[in-house]
Amino acid sequence: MSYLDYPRIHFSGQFQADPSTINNTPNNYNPAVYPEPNDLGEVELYWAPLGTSTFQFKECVVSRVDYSPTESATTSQEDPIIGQAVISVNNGGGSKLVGGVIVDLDPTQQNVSEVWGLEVQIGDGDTMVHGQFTAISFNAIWQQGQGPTTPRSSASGSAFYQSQLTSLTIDNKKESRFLTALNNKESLSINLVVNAHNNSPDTYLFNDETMLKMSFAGVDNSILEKLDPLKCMSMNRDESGTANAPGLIPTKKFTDFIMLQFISKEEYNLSYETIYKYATQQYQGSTNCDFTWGRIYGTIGEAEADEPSYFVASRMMNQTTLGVSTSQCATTPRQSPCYFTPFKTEVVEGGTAIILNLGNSLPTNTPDIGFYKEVLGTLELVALPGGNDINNAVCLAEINYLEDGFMTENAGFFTFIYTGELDLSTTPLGIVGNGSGSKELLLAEDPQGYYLRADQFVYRMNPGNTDPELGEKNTTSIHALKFGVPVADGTEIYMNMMSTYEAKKYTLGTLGESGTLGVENVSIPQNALIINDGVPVVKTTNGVATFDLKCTDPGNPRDYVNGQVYFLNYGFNEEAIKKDFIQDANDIVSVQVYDQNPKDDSVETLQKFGRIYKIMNFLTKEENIVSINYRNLISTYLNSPISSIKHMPVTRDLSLAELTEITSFIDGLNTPPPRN
Amino acid sequence: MKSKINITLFLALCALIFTFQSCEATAEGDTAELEGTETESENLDPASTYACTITQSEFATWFDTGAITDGGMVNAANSLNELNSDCDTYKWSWQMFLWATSPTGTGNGDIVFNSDTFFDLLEDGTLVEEGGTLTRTMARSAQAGLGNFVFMCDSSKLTPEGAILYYAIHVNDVYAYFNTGKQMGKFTDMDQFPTTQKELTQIVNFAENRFEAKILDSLALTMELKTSWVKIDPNAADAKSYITMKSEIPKYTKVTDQQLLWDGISFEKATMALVGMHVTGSTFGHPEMIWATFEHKDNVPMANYQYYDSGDNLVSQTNFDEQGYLTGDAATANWLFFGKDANMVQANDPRMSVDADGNITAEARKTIGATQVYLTQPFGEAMNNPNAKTNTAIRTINEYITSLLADGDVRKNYNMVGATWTSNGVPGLPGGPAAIVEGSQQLANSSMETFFQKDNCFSCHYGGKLGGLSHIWSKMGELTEPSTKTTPY
Repeated sequence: MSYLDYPRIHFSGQFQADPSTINNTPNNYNPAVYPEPNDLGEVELYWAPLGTSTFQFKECVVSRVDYSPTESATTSQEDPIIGQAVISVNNGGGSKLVGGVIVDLDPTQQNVSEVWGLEVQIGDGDTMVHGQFTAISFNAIWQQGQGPTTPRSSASGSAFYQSQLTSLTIDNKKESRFLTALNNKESLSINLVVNAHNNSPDTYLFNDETMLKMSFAGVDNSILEKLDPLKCMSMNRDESGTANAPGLIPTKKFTDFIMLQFISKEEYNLSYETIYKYATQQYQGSTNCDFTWGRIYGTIGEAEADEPSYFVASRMMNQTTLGVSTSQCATTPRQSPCYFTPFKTEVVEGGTAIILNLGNSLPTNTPDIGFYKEVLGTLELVALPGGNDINNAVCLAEINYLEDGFMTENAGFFTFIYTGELDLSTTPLGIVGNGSGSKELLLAEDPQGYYLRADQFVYRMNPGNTDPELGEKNTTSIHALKFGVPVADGTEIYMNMMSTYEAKKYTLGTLGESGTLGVENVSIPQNALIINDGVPVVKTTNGVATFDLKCTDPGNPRDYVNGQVYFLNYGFNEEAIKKDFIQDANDIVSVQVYDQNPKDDSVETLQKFGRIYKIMNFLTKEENIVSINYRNLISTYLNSPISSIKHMPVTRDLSLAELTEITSFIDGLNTPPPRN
Repeated sequence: MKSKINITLFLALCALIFTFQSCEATAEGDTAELEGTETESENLDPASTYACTITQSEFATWFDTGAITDGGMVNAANSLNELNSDCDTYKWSWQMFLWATSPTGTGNGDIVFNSDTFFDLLEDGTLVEEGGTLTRTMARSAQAGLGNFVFMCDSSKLTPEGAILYYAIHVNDVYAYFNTGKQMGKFTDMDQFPTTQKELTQIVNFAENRFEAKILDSLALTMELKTSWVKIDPNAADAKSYITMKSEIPKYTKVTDQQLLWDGISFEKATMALVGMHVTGSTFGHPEMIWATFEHKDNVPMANYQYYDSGDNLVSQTNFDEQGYLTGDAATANWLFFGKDANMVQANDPRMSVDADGNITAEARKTIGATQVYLTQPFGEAMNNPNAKTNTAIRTINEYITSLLADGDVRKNYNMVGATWTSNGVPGLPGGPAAIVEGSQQLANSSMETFFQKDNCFSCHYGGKLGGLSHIWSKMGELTEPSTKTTPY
């Protein structure tokens, strides 16, 4: 069972991802670039230096219930769950206005942004469903915006979170047929497609010209002199370290914050109107959503306890290659504009139902303006009994992707009941489009029906520690399928580690990491993470190949950045299978291996976080860290379970050894002296 | 506010006040006639330049009968009047506290903040009027705070077992009708809390015309109260020193040392003692509101601080010795939240938190239990930047008012920790202006901001003139049924 099965609901609305961005480059971890904690002239601020890490929903509403391939509801009269709000909450914070937090694994792996501490609730008056979202990273990120003017950033990206809702509370006093059909399930499968994230901040320019205008307009020169350091700050730098746009400060919130580091509140109040009059730059968002917000399309269905948590054991249509592109410089493969598409088939009365999730599959010209019909043309769902030969494709149905509500009501789902003769349970399926002027096979299932995925694909490991989740040992499970059912026992799966060169090339080629400076010394030493005791190939049992992971101390190879990150490739090992198999480049395993011993003392470690996470700027002062007003809170948060919203993102970069050291340090402060 | 008064003029006014006080007391002799106040008044220390004082006759004008009486009804301060000094603001705060805690005299146990003048705000945003009892108090409902921590005290002198602190929120009718009106698209020309007669009239008329409701004590303008409570044995010896009310509280089941479970539906009736109260309200020139807070005098010791005595000599009030143990008078007191043998380095440590379902879980490495608490910022002043003048002002106004209150008046047992506001009349707003904080710079109530004492009220209450400022603003539901509030108390 999964969200691809019945019953399921769809919802849509907006999500907020508001990470702090000073930690976006390893360079910013270097204490040498901070002469003073808020002297940021050598720092790359990126787009949200005062980000809160919030991940939350707004305006999300249940739009549709599918009970079966032929039965649906779209009004609250048919099912009272329609029209209900889907809201993000969190237990630890107690506030229903806030959701979870979004956290990258490391400054060299920002392509696996995890959501922690999120709870999902349906119904904002009477709660109908409440469940804990099992923390996981997004996956299957790709550049959905493909037009000539689309932003060259993650704003054009699309991805999905596939996870489960557990610890369920279901209240069906409104007598929803959907909830009745769930029949007291203990967990639900949830798929969240996220795209059109606006990461273009409002900006404010502090240079000689704007500050001269401020001066002429009456801002006291003594105030402007104090603000002089802002002229050196910048959002990004080139590879030589030169600021790309000196003095361009992102977000009014951060501009306020940084100005008040240099001038008093009285001076600010005297001058801020004039300062902003001349510093404010024309705003152009990268999508139609507000800054830090994007679109979300969700689907929730049943889940079983023995199923993988983070992917659906389904079938997969893969992105195809459409010949080559030739330019003056190179000849490169021309990739299909469409992206990997999970689907399933199911025998129903009168035929075979084909259920496609196209929510993360079809391109747009620019983000959030509808699909790129000029590229896609007419889309046909086809059977491929002859493999990927389009000439033998059998058209099954036209896909109505341009209809109103395809995303907002159906979350990109397309369902068709096939009544023909083909046995679709073993026939590859695909999608054909004619946007290029002729029919092309844009998506195609593996000719032999193979598909594989690691269930959990993000790990944090601490050498010398036996914690079952975060310790020096763990396992990763690769699920292998053939036409949606487990492969035959004994199918060989390999796993290997990317070399230093491969790792750097990989990560800088991702949408999340590209353009990041300071990505050096990646995945060294290579022997700090051992895969399966050195045995790279494992045979499947019941469709699963399990690899042991064991780490040793990497020995602080990155100096001021804790530990090391490793990237593990996996795939089918047998040539007969892998010769035609196309794998999503996102399908790797990312492992953070922390240093075994803390490099710095507790105060220095916490001060580092004060510099990098400006919402915790108070940590830059030792007097605050040792103050009873802060130290117990710091200790409480750090000792919270990793799944708690209190834990992340404060400790994203902390090892268990550092946590232990800080806890001991604070315990020492809390030990009373003997009474005289 | 500090900037609005010339210091020379201020001193001259003080001199006039003292002269007037002296003459009036002699002429009318009311100080001597008031039972229990004479001896205490003699011990007061009125002469410090930085003291905030009040004469007996002025204090008597706060009472609706014009006389200071045990449990007497205190009128709300007229918030349309300009407050011309810090001391005026502290007096406004005290008067509002005494008003809010005045018995209404209706005979059903009502006090003003639980009468027809106020609504209780429930978790789901519902506004409830229920005289005589608190509708419901919940663990940490009033003070969400980062982490939603729960505070439990070892209230052995009040109850036989450790007690969870519970919270409630109350808004007056001006606030409630203003909020409802805004939700209904009214008051389009008002983007901040009312501070003028014109604005107040709009709200009063809206309540009357739309809801057939008569707003009582409208001159209080918008008021928001947060109260903290602890369950007590009503027969306990010290119970009489507290303002008490009946309330529903969640019925918890202890599962382990780390968890108390609540089924979400079971409540028990309990007698609750008021241990803390935030008094927040708009006044002329202060749409950002004045944020004052009060505590029972036996709650917690304060950290060491300094104040000016009658000769303007700097005096150290030492409550903790160098080892962090209680000393002096503080060591002989029977604090509700701090044990006699406790040490300050162990204090203010959050031990547990409540989740969205109301269950209470211990933090990692900790168990459910009482926390030792002290006020790290006496009178809301920073230890590393002590303002003995503010300490002196608040300390003296507390001494004056608790002395002037009639013997037997339970309100004598409460003290103001401090009050804060901004000199520019705004909370911090995105893109400016910044809030210039006046009064107590780091104000906290030990029973509410227990684990977040470092910040100022405006550290959290900012970012908007309504919703950003008052966190309950956007959580309140509309008043939907005509009110029947026509009977003044």
